[in-house]
Amino acid sequence: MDISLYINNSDKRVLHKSIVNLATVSAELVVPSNIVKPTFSIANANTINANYIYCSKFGRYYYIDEITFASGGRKIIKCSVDVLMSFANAISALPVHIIRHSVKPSYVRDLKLPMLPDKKVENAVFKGGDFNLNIANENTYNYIINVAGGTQQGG
Amino acid sequence: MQVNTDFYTADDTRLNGEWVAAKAINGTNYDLSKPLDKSITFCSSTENSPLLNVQYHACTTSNSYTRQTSVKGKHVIAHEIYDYITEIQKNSVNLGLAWTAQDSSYVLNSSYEIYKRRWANDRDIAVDFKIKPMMKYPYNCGALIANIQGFEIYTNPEDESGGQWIYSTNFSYDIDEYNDYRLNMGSNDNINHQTIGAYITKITLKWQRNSQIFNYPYFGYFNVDNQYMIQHLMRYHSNHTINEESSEHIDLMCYYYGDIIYGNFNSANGVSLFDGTNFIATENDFSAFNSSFIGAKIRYTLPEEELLPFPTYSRQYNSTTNTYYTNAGSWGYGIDVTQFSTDNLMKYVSTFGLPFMRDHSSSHTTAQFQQNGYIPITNNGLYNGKYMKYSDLMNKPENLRTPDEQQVYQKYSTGNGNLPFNYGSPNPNNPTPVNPNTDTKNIEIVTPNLTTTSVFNSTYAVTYTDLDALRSYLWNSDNNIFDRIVENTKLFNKPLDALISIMLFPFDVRRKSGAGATTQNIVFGRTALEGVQGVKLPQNANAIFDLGNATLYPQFQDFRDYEPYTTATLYIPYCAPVKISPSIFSDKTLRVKLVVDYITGDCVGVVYCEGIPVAFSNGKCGINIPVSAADFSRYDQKVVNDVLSIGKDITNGDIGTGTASTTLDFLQSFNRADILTKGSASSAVSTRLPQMCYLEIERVQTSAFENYGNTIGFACDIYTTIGNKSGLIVCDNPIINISCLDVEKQEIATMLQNGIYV
Repeated sequence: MDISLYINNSDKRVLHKSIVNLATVSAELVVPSNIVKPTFSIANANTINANYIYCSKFGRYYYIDEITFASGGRKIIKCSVDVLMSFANAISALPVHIIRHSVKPSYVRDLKLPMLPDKKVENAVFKGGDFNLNIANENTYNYIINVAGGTQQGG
Repeated sequence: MQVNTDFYTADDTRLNGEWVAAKAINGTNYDLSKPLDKSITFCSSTENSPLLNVQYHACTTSNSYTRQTSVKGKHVIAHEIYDYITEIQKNSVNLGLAWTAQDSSYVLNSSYEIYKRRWANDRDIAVDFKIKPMMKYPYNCGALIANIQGFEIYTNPEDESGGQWIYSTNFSYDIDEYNDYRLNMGSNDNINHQTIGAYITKITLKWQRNSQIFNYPYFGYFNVDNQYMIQHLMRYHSNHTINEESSEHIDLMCYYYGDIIYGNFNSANGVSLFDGTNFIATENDFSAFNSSFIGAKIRYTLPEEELLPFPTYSRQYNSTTNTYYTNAGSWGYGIDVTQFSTDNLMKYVSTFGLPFMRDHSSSHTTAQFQQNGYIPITNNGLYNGKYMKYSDLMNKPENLRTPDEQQVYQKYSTGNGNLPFNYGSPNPNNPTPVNPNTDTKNIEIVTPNLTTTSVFNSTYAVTYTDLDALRSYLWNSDNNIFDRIVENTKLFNKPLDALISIMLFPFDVRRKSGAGATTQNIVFGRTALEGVQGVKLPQNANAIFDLGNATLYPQFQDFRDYEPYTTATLYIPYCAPVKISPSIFSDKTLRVKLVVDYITGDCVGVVYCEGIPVAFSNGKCGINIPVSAADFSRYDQKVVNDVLSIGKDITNGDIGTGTASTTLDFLQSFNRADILTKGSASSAVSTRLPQMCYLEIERVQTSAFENYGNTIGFACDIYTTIGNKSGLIVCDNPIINISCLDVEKQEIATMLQNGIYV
């Protein structure tokens, strides 16, 4: 079977990997293998820079976990499946409940967000009011007198 | 005339029907007296696709109509090409028009399945249901006629082949009543696998006067921009059969057809008003209603008279001029367009008892109807053309509403007369709750006409100079005057008891008391004190102070704007501080008003948020100046001086003798804590505290590093497809519906829960 060799520069957690194709080589599946962790045998002359492969027969992308030089001019490469890249399109179409994302904070309380112990204090002064004690004088009507008064009889 | 307006309620269960098995009663084999509460109602169309399969006719050649298939199964744009009209008259008034189609071949034969075909069992003999027409032809010249047909087939209920129409029945019925209708089966021998379904094939209005039958009465009019619009009146109110669950609502549809042109118009020829080529409603016009309409013709009315229909004629096409013209010789009635004003038109619409809009673009939502729509108002229970703007009625004070207006108000405000664009309750068995309360956006402080000010005693606003004059007068050196004062206060145990209280306020009382307050001699007991004046406060002296406003703005625009990350305290001068909850008041404007009692000096700070008082804080802003209650026989200057000097002495920490200090000292140096009984501090102390409101906001500070979002991520609560996101996402309990090995599914799920980068 043919496998394509790549260099993968992306983190394992990236869904759509950034990969650079190196070559497509003929490989033999070393038995026993499984589709999730296959072992391939390729000719030694093939590039050893690759850290990522695609196996069309399995329809999956794999990380190269280990490269072992074997007799007969062969390299044995042990792989493990990259589930994200292998099923990237299907994963992209999955509806999911997202509880954290890289966008700015939302109105959902975030207990992980580190907070400083001191708070910032602001004072918003209201504009308005008629208090005048700071400017009152002997002629301002700041007093109220309550008197018992009836029909006036004159002074 | 009375119009049936009880056409739709959210909890309408009338449309769920079922087979009625034959029941023996009184020797008969059916029981129609049993209340079914299952009926169909003729009214406007529904949001979901009706079962219509309307076919429309287009005139492509002269004297003929070509039946064309529906453009879409759901949206059927039907138009008929009628007589060609030239330019519409500019500035023409609106016409009150109604629209019908002639019977027979002009009818667009659409059938509405009202009872879904199903196999009959051996006891089934009929379909029973009730029919309640929605409206009445307003000019008392029509009776609603429905043609309900049964369809019997001998094969699969879903397969129409081999079926035949049977049991054609025409019947007419009262508008305002539920009418029983029974569609009988033929022979139910349970051998030939009979099925039965019921259809309405025609809804016609029989115009009794001239025995004309008009299908699908519509109402059409020109709006203020002389754009033709049409309201669809008669439809089968269901998108399902009565033996299926339905989800309907009523639309009062206004279709905008653009600029209609008409010109030299020979009404005697029964010429229609518009050219069918212009009379095309696009798909977008139906987007809110998913409905269809049937081709249009226009007829005229005479003002204040009955609608007079006239038949239309097939067009004649002039290939040379590429115009259409009508056949002559038909009858019809013209109309003086100047007689039919917009108001007349709206009156006409109101006689149908239906709410209506005047423009198409705003006719699609309930909110827009609430703002721009009109509702008819009854007159002694009948609709005779009176109408009101919906918002005007809703805002009209209850005590000003007429009984008819009140009845209509209750109908629309309690949900019993649902607005025509109610998309919120698709399931009649699960209605949207109706708020029975009266919501308000504004509650103001009351300025009462009766207060405790100047009731039995007299309340004066005075200056320090006035108080000085009072003291001087009371201790008048003229014995005659002094004796008169004593004489005129004999009602009191001690003469000085007539001086009830003196209080210092932190504001100019005269400025607040209003224009009606005038300066006059103070009357002390029975003595008008010459030269001693004050401003007598009126009964309704203004005692409300606006202390301004501020906004608790959300700085972060996220959870940090709320407790416990952000807290706020509102300080109101002379009152206790008020805790402000950002959860409620974030991004809201707070306003404070201080209500003052001039007699006791108490005050209440009222905190408003968006026009509604949300918090109250007690306090005291009037500073009592103690008045000695010593026996008037021992009344002397010292006592009076006490009135004025205690304050000053208080400032010095001594109580007793002393001359009055300067006014400013007097005002500025109160510090007696025991004068006040309420608030967070004494009013005397409060005079030294800030004299304005301020909002103290405490906000959390976070220390997220620069790439925090892409490393740790921020909390969120989103349900979407992964492809719609970018960057880091962490999922919760993902469901992996992917064709892969189980071990791979588990790994995918684990990775999604730990976080991936899209």
